[in-house]
Amino acid sequence: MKTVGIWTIKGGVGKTAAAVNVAHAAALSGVRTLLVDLDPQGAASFYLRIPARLKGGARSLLRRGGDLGALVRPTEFDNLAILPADFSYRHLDLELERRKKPGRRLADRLATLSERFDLVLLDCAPSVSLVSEAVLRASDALLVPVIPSTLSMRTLDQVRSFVASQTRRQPLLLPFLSMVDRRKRLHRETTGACLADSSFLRTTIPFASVVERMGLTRAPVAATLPSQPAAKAFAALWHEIRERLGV
Amino acid sequence: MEALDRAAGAGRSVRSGPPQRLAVTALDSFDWRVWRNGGRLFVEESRGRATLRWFPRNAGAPYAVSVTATPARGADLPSGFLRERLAGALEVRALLPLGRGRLIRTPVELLDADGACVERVFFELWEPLDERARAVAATASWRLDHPGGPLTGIVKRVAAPKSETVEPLALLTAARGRTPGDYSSKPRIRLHPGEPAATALRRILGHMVEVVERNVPGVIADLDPEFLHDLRVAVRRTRSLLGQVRGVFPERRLAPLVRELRWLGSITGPCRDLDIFLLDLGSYRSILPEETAAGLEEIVQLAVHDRRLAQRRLARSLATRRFAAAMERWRSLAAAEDDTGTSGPRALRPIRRVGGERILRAHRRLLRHGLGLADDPPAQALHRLRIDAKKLRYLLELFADLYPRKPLNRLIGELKTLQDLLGEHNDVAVQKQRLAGLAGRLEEADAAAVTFVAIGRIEEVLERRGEELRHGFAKRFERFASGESRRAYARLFGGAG
Repeated sequence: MKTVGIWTIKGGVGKTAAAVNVAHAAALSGVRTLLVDLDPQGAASFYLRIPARLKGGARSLLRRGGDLGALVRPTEFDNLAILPADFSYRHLDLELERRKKPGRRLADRLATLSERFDLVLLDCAPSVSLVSEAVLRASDALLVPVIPSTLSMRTLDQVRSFVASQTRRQPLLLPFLSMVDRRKRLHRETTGACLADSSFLRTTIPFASVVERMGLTRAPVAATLPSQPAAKAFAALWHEIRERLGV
Repeated sequence: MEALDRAAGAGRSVRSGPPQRLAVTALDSFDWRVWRNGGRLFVEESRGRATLRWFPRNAGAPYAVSVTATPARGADLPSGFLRERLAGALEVRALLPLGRGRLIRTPVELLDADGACVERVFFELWEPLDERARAVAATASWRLDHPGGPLTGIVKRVAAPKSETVEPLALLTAARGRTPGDYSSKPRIRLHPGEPAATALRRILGHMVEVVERNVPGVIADLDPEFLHDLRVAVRRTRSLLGQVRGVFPERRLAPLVRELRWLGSITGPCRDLDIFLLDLGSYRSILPEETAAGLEEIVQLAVHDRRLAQRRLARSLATRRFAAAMERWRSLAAAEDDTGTSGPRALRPIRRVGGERILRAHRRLLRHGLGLADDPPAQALHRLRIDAKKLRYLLELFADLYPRKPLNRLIGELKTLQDLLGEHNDVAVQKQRLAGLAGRLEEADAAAVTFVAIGRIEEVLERRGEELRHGFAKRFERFASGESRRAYARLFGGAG
């Protein structure tokens, strides 16, 4: 089982859209995928039409010995399951802090699902916290969405130094360009500069209204409009991640 | 739907998705290896698209992956979960369509006030098809994708009080006369210690003739090498049993059957030998350097050609009157009414006693032959010992029911360790012989030089392996012939009765 965290410090960069669509692309390719919605807003759960409620909330997510598998919900898509968000996750930091070895707790809990899944995707809220550390610790790779803008590039540098500051396990950093609008000159120029950096995934996710409409369709783009460029881009992104990770 | 909607309660609603019409094929090996592995495998086809769907036997989530062609073997399964899980279990066995049917699947969702899906149930209408693709009575069923939730009770109460959760694999295969688990290459025949030897042997004979009959169509159609293997094992076991347990059936009835069993052994041998040779050739690929491995191709082609001819000859033999008559003879000896008057002197003795005696005799014989051998025994002597060991093994396994399981399994384990060495030694000798034969023919056919390099390298490997095995023999046999093991034989089978 491989675990991929989708995380950045900046919000509104297409993080949850990437989590849901990459998870769906992975499941379509025959990989048993679990999407863990760690964001108290529960946007990933919403997109997949699963109530953002977890029996027992943050406690049951972290409680050692509890059956995490029983909290996993199937989605309407083959091979794709979700551990739904819960509003109590707004206190996930505090919940972690109360426990022994908080940094590795999430990793330990997820390890109990290794027989059932080939891939776990962690969709996290944008922040730097104990939760972020736990996500880093649990992840084999970190998918970082970057909008081709100065501010977003600066955020990537911050992410890099945060990851580097972790003394324990450091996940493979996989930044990718998100919400790219080819009509904007700045986007075109910055895209070129980013892709010159070999750590960036080659696939860029276009800014597309079909992604925005996910809030209405409540389904991954490929499930409703598979021939759309955005759907194809998420599939390509997944194949790149798969190659880098050796799933 | 309306009833479901009413039962859903305030703030909730029920939504039905479009029904899917699917052509479903249940896939498994002839001996149910997918099912024994804890799952069920189906190909679902709809509008030219095929999905391979695997259900775990417990209530876990199904797994699905789209395919362009129905996999015929474990190696054809798409890479990932299914291949990892099943290819090892299937080994060389083919995935066969053991059942077919039509399915109409309608998903129904229970939605909360936000439109999120609280739970999902699939209503399914199964229509199995028999061998001639005629529809058998349809069965309605339902399947929850997240059992235990609020919809479970509602569905049970409102929507489906009369339908049931069916096992689709059982449903589809029943239409073709099969039941999951109805065939195993390792059969267990229930024997009772006190039953007369003649009755017990007849039951074993009956079981063995059934194994042969069930495997014949697969051998003729050449579905996979295990059909022939199982058929041959049943023939050899029977032959070995009849040869060792004398005095139960009248000689005049036994002799012609034993002759026909020998014939069956001889007509099935060439094809099986080539099956093993081809399987082993595959394993040589990894031990040869890359440039030499290319030389295997011509050898494989020649062996495949030979096998095709051997298989056709075998299929023709199995369609002869002689074969039909041999089977009839076998069946009639198995089914004969109690002909005590014409039976041998041991016919009425309890099977446990007869079995124990025969096992001890076979054990003594194996010890006698083995203990007389020097440290580096000649190949011929090891060959004879291999046959002795096999005879003892057949007896131990056929009469397994009559003795305490644990000590018996230990003895079988010890014997198996010895047999592994003897068996491999024999394989090495047979491979060397076959390679030499093929080399001659390839020379006449003016084969490429790299082919002979490959043959030379394989011969070297085989030569070395043969020597290792001969040198390892004494130690392996010592363990088998230890005082403790001998005492266990005497204890288990000596006081039988």
